[in-house]
Amino acid sequence: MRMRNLRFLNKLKRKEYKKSHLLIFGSLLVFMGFFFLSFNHLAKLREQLFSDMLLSMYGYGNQESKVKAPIAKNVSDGTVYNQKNIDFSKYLGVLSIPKIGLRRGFYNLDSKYNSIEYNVTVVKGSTMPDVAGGNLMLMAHSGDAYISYFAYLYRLNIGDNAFVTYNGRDYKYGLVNVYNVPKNGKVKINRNFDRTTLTLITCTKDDSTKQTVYIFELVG
Amino acid sequence: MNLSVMGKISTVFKYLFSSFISLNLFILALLLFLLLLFNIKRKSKYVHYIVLVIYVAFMLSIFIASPAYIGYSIDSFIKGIMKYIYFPSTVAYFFIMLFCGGMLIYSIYSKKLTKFKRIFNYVTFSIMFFLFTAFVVVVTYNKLDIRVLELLYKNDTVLSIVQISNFILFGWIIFTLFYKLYNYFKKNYDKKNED
Repeated sequence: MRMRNLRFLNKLKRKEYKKSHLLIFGSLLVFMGFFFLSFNHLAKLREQLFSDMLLSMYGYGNQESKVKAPIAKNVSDGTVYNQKNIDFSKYLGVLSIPKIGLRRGFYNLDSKYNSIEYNVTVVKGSTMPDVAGGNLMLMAHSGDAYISYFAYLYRLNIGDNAFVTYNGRDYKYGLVNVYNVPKNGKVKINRNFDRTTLTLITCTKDDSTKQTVYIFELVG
Repeated sequence: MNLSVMGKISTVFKYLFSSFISLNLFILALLLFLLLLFNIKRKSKYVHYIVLVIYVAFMLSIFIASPAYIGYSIDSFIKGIMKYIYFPSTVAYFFIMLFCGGMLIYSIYSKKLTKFKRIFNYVTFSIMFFLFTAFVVVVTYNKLDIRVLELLYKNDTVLSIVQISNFILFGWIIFTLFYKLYNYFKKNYDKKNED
């Protein structure tokens, strides 16, 4: 017993660190590092999941679908946003783009949640899809932050579909035009005024001086 | 759509001989298989390394050729796991509880577990059983339909119970993995001091 205590004290004096302790500590650091690096992306996936679930809860079914506008930015980790609790039962409509897994509701123009800092935003001057020849304009940030709902719009090609659910009806749009405009608070909309269109606006990928405009035309 | 098994096999064979690239892929897979088969007797390490390099190169080429597909697959997989944590189907939740029951029995009868791990398991699974029982009581008392998740999870109590129990299970899994890893390092890397 005495010998065992002496050995233990000697170990403490020599401050022996076991290899296993170092290895497990290193493994923990790697795991935590990986977690923190992927945190934003995981948060975005979680938000998509919650959004889908809440949309299902409030009755939206699954489906495979030169204006003055707030400036959409490439927002990233460093920016802090005040996330208020969002009431999903007050969505005006739902935008979904199956190709990039986007499915997000948008609010009435007058709603306090109709802000680019919280959500996909309806731009002033928009008309709803049921207005013939009208134009529904939606904006959101791109980048890799929590609110970068339009982060993957750059992956769309001409002909890709977007869907808007409004007033219990689904509207199918096809992408017809993509172009960039300077970021100066005003966005030039080039569209066919004889067609009902959907316009999505976000910051251009890897270019903080421009915004990209996606023009969709109603196909069904 | 309604092909028989033989129909499906014949369709695959037709594809196999329909183009140069499909034939090449088939020959490559066949060569790799034969190489490994004949290496069983020879036991050459170089063959193992070569096959490994070829396999890794093949996977990398797929990653480079279709990054969107790979990204979408990984995202879907992660979302699937998150869905089981945050909004599990009641069937999944039931099987999770069966798993906890099995682990509890293992903890009771296992001779390999340390006292610390045993207590940790008892605490975790006791909480899990309490939460599952509470879930059943709340569902029964409120007459909720367990088949329609959207209606079931509108109830905040049910949602909180299910999510907390899944977080606890997830935490237990992570802890157990690191515990096993620590035991592995201890067994293989710590010096055996001469007494």
